[in-house]
Amino acid sequence: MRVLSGLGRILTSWYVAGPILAILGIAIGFGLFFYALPVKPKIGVIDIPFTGISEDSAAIITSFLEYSRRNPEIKGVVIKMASPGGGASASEQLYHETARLRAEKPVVMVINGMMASGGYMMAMGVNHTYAKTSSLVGNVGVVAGTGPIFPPQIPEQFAFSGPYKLTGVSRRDWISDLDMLKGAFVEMVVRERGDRLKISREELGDGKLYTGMEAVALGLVDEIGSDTEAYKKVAELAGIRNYSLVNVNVEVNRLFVQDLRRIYSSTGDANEPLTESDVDLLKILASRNSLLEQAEPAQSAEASDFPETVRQVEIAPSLDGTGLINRPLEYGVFGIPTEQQFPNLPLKTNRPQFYYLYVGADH
Amino acid sequence: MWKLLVLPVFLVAFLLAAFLVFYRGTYTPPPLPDIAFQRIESVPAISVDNPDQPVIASSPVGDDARGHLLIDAAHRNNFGHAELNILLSRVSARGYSSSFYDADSQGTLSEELSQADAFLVILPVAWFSPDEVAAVLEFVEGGGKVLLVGDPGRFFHMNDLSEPLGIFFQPDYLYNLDEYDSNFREIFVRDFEADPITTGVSEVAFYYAGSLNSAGPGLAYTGGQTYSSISEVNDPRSPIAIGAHRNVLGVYDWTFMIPPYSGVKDNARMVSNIADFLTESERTYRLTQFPRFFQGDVDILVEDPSLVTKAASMKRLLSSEGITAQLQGSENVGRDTVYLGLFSERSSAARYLEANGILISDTLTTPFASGIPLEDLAVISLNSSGDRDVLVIMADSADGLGTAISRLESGAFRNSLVNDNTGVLETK
Repeated sequence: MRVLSGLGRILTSWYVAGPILAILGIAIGFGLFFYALPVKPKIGVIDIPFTGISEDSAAIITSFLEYSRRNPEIKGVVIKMASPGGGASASEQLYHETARLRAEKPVVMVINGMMASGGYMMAMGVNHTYAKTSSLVGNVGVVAGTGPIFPPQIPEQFAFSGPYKLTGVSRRDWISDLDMLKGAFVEMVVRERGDRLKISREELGDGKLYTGMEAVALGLVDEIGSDTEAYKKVAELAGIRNYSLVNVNVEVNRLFVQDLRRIYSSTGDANEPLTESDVDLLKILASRNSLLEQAEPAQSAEASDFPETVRQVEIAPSLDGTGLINRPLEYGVFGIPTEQQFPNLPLKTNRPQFYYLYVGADH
Repeated sequence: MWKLLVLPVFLVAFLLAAFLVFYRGTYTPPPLPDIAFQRIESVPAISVDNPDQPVIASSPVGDDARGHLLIDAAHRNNFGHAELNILLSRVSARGYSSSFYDADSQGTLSEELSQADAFLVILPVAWFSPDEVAAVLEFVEGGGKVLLVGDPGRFFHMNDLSEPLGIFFQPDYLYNLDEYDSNFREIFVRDFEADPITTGVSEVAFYYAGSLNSAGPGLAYTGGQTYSSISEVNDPRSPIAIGAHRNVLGVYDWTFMIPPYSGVKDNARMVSNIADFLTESERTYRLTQFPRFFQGDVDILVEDPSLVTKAASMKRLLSSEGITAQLQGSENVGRDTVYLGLFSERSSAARYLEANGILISDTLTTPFASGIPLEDLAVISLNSSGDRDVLVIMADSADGLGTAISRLESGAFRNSLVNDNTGVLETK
């Protein structure tokens, strides 16, 4: 009894109990953190198969980046991507959004296959880039339609207020703008790559496409590597270990489904069980994901079977569901024959566009 | 007292464990790069110095410049008619008329070319047939001018026609990354060969030009850092060249002849010189092109009144071809003329026959044979010397003369030609 009493005094003395409690706390904490509590740091993985960067696909990719940025559990992001580039403004949006994410969390890109032009521009927004030796990287430059030398004659019953009111710019100035945009693209690469870049602005502006190993040697990408190296690198940059991976594509789609549920359910409750619209939702998601593989949505026979309201939202990208509403508005300008849009002004409306796009020879 | 520390110690240990398990540092974002987009400047397009370049001839226009330009539009040519304005206005200012050879044309290309002095082919998409190529070759050999215009910026098929004429349009474009107008494919050329086509030209801006390989001399050569898209060596390339024949000119840029580009640098002068080239045709005609070698009204002369009915037949034949003809009592040396006569006469047309090496006495003498009996024979001979064409038709009898006219009408006379200008027909 005296022995037990003495042991109790020893155990309750602070210089014994303190370390014991600390060890116990570390053990419990380790166990809880590592195995039980959902507080493990996460690396967000964004997987983008060969994708032309259109306004639609850029909106979807932006939603992935935005989700990664806003989710506090995600401490770093790996983007696995291949792209020939695409629309200039859409590509620039992805660069800015990626750089915005990089300002808060490390972003590492794995270049699968090709990362050209506007795709490469997006890669300028990350911390570190990996390519395969056979990847194709670069193609810095701009493509644009110039239109005919002589603009179409406008019927005299239509008046306009200035010489460039209809076309917006002269053909020659438009071509000059092309050169200026190339200069801006080159400047962006030079500034982002900094001392890592080993080729001149002039060479960069030639628009060449380099293999992955050439690109590493020239400083266009950082290393040869793949997914595992990317996870290690982003963990190192984020200062984390024992991380888990989270598929951002899936998480964003999950939220998207919730948005659709909220919109289409009679009560507005996102948690209300879906009924016959489940199949349609899955179709919507399927068509939505197909946008990641092609710049333009495919008008399949299956899609034509959709109810009108469903077809209108089939490529809606937004996390909060506003894209479902905005998409028909956008197509209302350039997607619908103008004579139906503006019946009193039957002039064909042409959408001017610059592209940061690899077009490619027919290999 | 110390018992109060149990919870904080546990908590600190807990957090320390979490940190040690999951974190080994903090993320330090890289500094945002200073991308000074506002300092990016475009290369200002070169001003159009002479947008109102007068569309006048650089050489005097006179009656001797009269002629006709045939413009190919039958091969799905990839240009707009409005784009022809500058060139055609200059051609017109030089006294030339013009027309299109297209699906609405009445005759074959050979027939249409027989009435033309110059032929303009711009960006044909459809292939030229072998017969058409042969017709153009014959046209060139007869003194007709041919201008072949390609453009790397537009789809076209030219080499099936241009190669037989001694010009090959390379599948390339020319570019210069150091010096250009608004785009690297808008190059300047300053190296010119001395030639009427380059007279007064010191600098031309081409807007998407390609390079020509030619049997004749190149007239303008690239220099400096101008490259061909199919070569990594910046050797001189020529976007303007003469073909195997001096009458064939190849130009591998259509855009520089179209406003506003035609007003940049010396482009307008170059277009004027090209118009000069087209309108300085020295076209000679062959007998096979009857009656298209007549370019105006025709006088018909007969020296034997018994041949008046044959003269009427000839008048009707020419009228059916759209040529106004009148019987005349005497020769007007300023007009195209048809002589109808018999071998037995001492015809004033003999001098025209002699000019072609034909002598008529008791027998017929030609450059190839002599002592040919005159019986059942007719001779048709075209003399194109000077500014007029004189067609002489002689036979041993009025019936023989009628037969010769019939064969002119049917085209069968072409089987009896002994050279380009003379036919000897059996009339039996």
